[in-house]
This record gives sequence, C-alpha cells and structure tokens, in this order.
Amino acid sequence: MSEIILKTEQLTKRFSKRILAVDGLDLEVPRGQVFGLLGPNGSGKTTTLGMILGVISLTNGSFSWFGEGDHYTIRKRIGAILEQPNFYPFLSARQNLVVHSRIKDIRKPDIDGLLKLVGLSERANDPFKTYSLGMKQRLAIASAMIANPDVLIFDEPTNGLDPLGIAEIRQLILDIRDMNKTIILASHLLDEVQKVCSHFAVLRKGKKIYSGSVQEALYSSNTVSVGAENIISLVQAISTCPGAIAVERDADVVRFQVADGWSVAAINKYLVDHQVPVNFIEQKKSSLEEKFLEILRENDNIPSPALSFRS
Amino acid sequence: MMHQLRKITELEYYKFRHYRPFLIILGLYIFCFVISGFSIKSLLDWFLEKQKDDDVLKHFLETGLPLFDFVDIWQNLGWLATLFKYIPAFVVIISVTLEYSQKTIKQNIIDGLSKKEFLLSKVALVFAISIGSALLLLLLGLFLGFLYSPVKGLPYILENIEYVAAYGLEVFVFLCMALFAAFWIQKSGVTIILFLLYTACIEPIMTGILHYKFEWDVWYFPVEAINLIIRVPFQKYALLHVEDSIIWQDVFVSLGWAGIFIALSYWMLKRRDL
Repeated sequence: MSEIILKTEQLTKRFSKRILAVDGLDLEVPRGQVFGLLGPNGSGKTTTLGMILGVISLTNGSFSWFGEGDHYTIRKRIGAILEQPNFYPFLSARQNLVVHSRIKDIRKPDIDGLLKLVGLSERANDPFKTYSLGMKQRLAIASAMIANPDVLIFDEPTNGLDPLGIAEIRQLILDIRDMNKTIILASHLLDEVQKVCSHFAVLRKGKKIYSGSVQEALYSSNTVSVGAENIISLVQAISTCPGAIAVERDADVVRFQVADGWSVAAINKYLVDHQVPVNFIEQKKSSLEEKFLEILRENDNIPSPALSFRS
Repeated sequence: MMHQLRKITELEYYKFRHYRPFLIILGLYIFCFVISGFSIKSLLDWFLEKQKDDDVLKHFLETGLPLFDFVDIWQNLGWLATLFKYIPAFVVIISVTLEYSQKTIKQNIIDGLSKKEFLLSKVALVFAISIGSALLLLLLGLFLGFLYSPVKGLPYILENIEYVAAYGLEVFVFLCMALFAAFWIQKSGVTIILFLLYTACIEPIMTGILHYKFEWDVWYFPVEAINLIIRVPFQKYALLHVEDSIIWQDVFVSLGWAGIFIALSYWMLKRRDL
C-alpha cells in the first residue's frame, strides 16, 4: 500500500520579519510508516505539526491529509498531542476522554479498553491535576487513540520523563505501531527516532535538510577507523585518497567515511600502495547520532578539522 | 445543523458539569437573586419608616411600597436583578480563559473542532445562562407576587411579563460582552479587572461627560444600552414619570451589540494562532 497519509507542499510559517519558523517544507508520509521529525529545539517541528493540525495559520504552501485536503473535520480521524498533554485539570481521566470523544463524534468510546491499554485503569476517576507527568502523557496517548485513528502524531512524547517513564512511553508507541497505525513522531532525541521510527526527516532552521529511511541512514554512513605506526603519513595518505571523506584525526586513529563506490578493502589497498603500513582498521556502523551530526555539518558547510588540515 | 448545536451544547455541559467553582458561583447567583427578592421589601419598609415626614412617601406607610404587586413586579424585580449579572459574567470569563490557560482550546481544535464550533459552544453557554436567569426571574416573580400582591388574576400576572424576556436579553448581551473580553484578553485575572473597570467606571464616566457636558444625545454605548433595556422603575413611587414599557430601540441596539461582540470574538479567534 503506497497510500499517502500526509503530504505538505512548500509549507511555510513566518512569525515575524526575523523569525521564519518553517521554510518551504515538503513532506510525504505514506501509510504504515513511523515517521520521525528530527531536529534540534527551535527547528520548527512543533510549528510544522501546529500547521498541519489547524492551530497555526499557514504563511504559504499547503498540506493534505489522506489526499483529501485540510478541512477541519478530517482532524477527527487523527489522534494528536502537541507539546504537553492538555486536559481539563478538574476532570478525571474518564471524563476528559468523554469530552474528547464528543469532539470526535464518537458515541460509544471504548474508554475502559483505552485506559487499560495505557495502564491508567486504577486512577481513572481521579482528577487530571493529581496525575504525574508520565500518567498525563499516557492519558494523552489514550485520548489520541480514542477515535481509533489511522494516524497518530506525538510531539516530544518522552520530554521530561524519568528513564522508566521514557521506556513505558516508547513501548506504548511500539505497541501502537504494531496495530498498523501510521505514526508521526517529532523529537530532538536521536536515540528515540532510531529506536522507534522507520523513516525520518531532519529539520534545521525550518528547512528539511535530509529525509530517508532510518535503516539506510544507519548503513550509508560507514565510519572507518584506521591506526598506524606513523600517524602523520597515514593522515597525509588518507587525505589524498578519494575514497575517504570527512576525515577526522584523533590522537592515534584516523576516522573517515567511505565514499560512494569505494570499499574498506579498496582503501586498505590504497594505503598499502602508498607505503603506509596499517596496524589497525575497523569498520563501524554509525549510530543515528553520528549521521545526524554529519548531516548538520554538511548542511552548515563547517569543514571538519582534518579537512582543513588537507588544504 | 441540529446535530452540531446538540454536540456543542453537550460538549460545554461535559466540560463544566463537574467544575466546582462554576457550580459555586452559579449557586451564589441564585442565592443573591432569591435573598434580594426577599430582603428588599423589609429594607424599603425600614427606609419608609425613616422618611415618615416626607409628604410624597408617607402615604405608602400603611400599605408599604407596591413593589411586588403584579404588573409592577416584573419591571421592579427585573431591574433589581440586573445588579447580579456580573456573577454569570465571571462564569463566562472563567470558562473561556480557563481554556486558554490550560491550552484545552488548542487540544479541542486539534481533536477536530472548528474555531466556529468552539465559539458557538461558548455562545451556547451564554444562551443557557440567559434562559436560566429569565426562568429564575419568572419563578421568583410568581412566588413573591402570590405572596404580596393584592391582585392575583391572570391578566394582571401576564401584563408586563415581557420584562422577564427583557431580563434574559439583558443578561445575554452583557455575557456576550464578557465573552468578547475573555477571547480578547485571554487571561482570567486581567479580563475580570478590565471588564469591571470598563463596565462600572470607564463607560459610565465617559457617557456621563458626553451627555452632560457636551449634551450628546445618543445612547448607543454597550453598557448603557444594556442597562436601558429595563429602565429604573422606582422614581414612579415619588410620582415622577417613568418609562414602564420596553422600547424597541433599546432592544435593537442591544441585539446589535450582541452581534458585534460575537463577531469580534470570532474575528479574534480566527486571526490568532493558538
């Protein structure tokens, strides 16, 4: 199924002359993806979600849900939480869910089932204001699930939680993913995106600077570490090798990325041909964090220390 | 359309039926209403006792003021009750500003409510309180009338009963004004203070200056228009002329303000990001 759940075209939000929060954003989320919207704080993630959820007006561009446009009634088929969970503090979990179900035109919501899913059954009748942050987040997820929506949107769902709470929420999101839901997850936590998402886009200053699948990103950026007796000649040799990019030098190892069309073996041969005996070579799959930093660096055109060494 | 109306009314009911401060304030409103109805008579009798040398008033000494006699009672009670319309106005202000401070308005929109539906749900609250107020006045009037009025025939009861509806209208327009203030300012404390300041000080002083210093003859300011729907009835007991029927112009001006306040609220809501 390649049905498109969400498509944005040139989505733009300008808050003031100086502040361009989202800048010409094109996104496409097909059915079944767990899509991570990754970016540092202030990169425009929440503004983007605000626009596609109707609470922030668009300066320019357009978006479409389920290929049907942006009418407000479509939002009844989306479960979404922006920033903190927002509920009526004096109402209990159960009563809050009734309010949500009325908005979404659900006559007979399965409130008990939802409370069970998120583990709030015992406190279901206590006022929302007495809940811990973790419980509030879990209620938020329950309310997002109330209309049994095809797509769920979570914005920094683990923000401010303790490690146990974080683990619980992530497990909950994975459980929901396994119910064949499409999920859009905004986060500044790479680790979270890596663990939960299938695809992701990186935002920076409101611009999309990367998008692709998490798997590809993990494999595409093969970092290789090499060590040699004579580190100076190693660095010189590596720097002239067209197969090695983004070269960085530590105290006794040189780290670089393997360029397209090159393999680690080919680079090893290149070094041998240049009379640099290698005493240590290791290929390591990068974490998304390294990939992320790499993407940011490419985007900023900040030369890495070793690259400036080359010139 | 009917479905939508029912939905937004139900929604407002589900939101606030368990909110204790609301129930307490509304209870206070009813309490003030009832207690004033019962106490004002003894207060005025005491006042007459003090004024026994006044030529005009002394003939009321034996009978008491005919405050709660049918025909008179509706305008008298209606005017008395207008003093209390501030209480439901606070309820309306709190109900809107709470949605902003708790960001539940944002969540409502995300969940699939339109901004128009959100506004209409608040107008539904205003409308329900206005109907409730008119009913309260009707019940209190009937009760006090049957207790004190020397005449009790149906024609007497029904004469001037339009003041009950006029009271409902007055509360409605006043609450629409409170609604607009809340949508505009969004913070409960500031809204209540500015609303009080404007309705009780700024506008009366401003219109006072306009009327008496510049001999301005127009009575179109909102608070003034609202208060004019039911004109002060009591001077008639001092044998002065008093308007004792509702003037259509007052009704239309007030309705116009209600429309303006609702439209401005919608404009505010539509224009701003949440």
